[in-house]
Amino acid sequence: MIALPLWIICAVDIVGSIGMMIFGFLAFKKTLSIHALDPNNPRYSYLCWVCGTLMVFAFVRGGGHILRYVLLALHEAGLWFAISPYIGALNTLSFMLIVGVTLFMRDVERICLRINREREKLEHMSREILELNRDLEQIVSERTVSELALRIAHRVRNPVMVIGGLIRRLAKECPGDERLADKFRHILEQVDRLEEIVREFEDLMESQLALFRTEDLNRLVQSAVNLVLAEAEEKGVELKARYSEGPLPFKGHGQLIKVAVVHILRNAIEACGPGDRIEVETGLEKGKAFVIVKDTGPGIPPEIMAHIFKPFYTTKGKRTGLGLPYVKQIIEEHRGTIEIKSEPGQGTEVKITLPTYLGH
Amino acid sequence: MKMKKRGYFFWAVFWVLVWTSPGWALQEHPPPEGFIAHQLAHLFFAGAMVVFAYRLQTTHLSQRPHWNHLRWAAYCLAFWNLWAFLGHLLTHVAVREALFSWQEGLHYCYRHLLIERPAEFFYFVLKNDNVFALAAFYLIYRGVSRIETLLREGRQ
Repeated sequence: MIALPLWIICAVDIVGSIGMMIFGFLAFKKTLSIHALDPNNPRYSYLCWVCGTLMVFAFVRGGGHILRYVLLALHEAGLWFAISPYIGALNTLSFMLIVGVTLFMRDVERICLRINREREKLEHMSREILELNRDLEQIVSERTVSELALRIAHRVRNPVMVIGGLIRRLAKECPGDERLADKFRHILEQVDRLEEIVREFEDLMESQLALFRTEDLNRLVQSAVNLVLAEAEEKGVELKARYSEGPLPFKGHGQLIKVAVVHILRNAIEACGPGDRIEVETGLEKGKAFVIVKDTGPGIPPEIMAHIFKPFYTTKGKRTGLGLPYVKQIIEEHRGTIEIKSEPGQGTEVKITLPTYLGH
Repeated sequence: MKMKKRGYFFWAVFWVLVWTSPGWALQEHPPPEGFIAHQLAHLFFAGAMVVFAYRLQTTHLSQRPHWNHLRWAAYCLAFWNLWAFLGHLLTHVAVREALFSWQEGLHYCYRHLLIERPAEFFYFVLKNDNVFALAAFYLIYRGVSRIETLLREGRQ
């Protein structure tokens, strides 16, 4: 039988209680400072609550223990027995406070995850929009250059050909004069050079076709859907997409097709109201890739349907009315087709078909 | 399903109204209740800490060293609760302060504990529960300090 001194228990208790109070207080102070550094982060706000309740627990429990030693040392046992039930009750309450706060962890984490997801989605969308804008600028500048080149070529070609023909005829009409024939030859060389330049200008338009690459229609449509998903959600429109299995390759200008699909989707979202549904479908049909955008909106009245692809025809006030004609132009440049079926009150279906041109 | 639940609810209300027994408006709270409430609170506290640690683990926050400190702190507190729970139980049912009746008049800290049975030994060991509580608070402090440092450096 051995006798163990109880001062060991007392020492551990006193040191532990004081330590708990010090570390509890310092930890809470740190969490306040963390919260001040990033006040919008719910995780840090939650950490404040956890550490705050733990500090309360440390002070109630540790403080109570220390008080007991002090009062017993001062021979105030009666006072201690009078207040100890209250301290004990507060101690128990602090436990339950901690339980209540810590069980919120799941909700806080869910909120944090959602915020992070939304942030990532926004970053992704803004990146896509920036990319789309950059591509659009490039497309516009390329088209301006091409059209200018084509116009110049068209205007210059005829006079150059007339000059060339006249010079050749004049050269034939003056066969004996060597000096004159030499000058005609020089003029004809320059005319040939001019004709070559005109041809080069005309080829510039053809060079646009060089921008056509093998693209995946599924990927482009997916990217377009992602771009407008937030708009649809905000309007309470359900946007569902069903992509064909595997990639849908076709030869064309990816960004232009994406612009066209985004435009069709935005039109559908604008037409739809809360509770409506937009279905996007991609697939392969008779060797052609297609994308269908079908909505349950109010549909297009026949009087508007007749003018839908006419430039500058708009029902949306401030708009230019160039949207759908531009979409049609893009699709036709890809030798594809665009069909719109709509019944008032029954919704609208837009089908874009694109030849794959693979193997050619 | 909703109708079924409502049906159960009305049946329960009906049952209570029909089969009532005499009751008192105010419930008494005699002494063991405080002890039981405290012991239950220890168990809830331990459970909450385990859940907290588990959530830190499942949300992969504990992969970061500073959050991992908090996870270990939660485990320490859970362990401390179980330790304290057993300590209270032992003091309540087996040992009591009667152990020291032969040292009447002496301050608790000046007394000695005679180890005659395993209960006394366990009493001595379990009374040192603050070892775990202190470790837990130190780990919490370490964790949040690190988070603060990283935030100040813009790395969190």
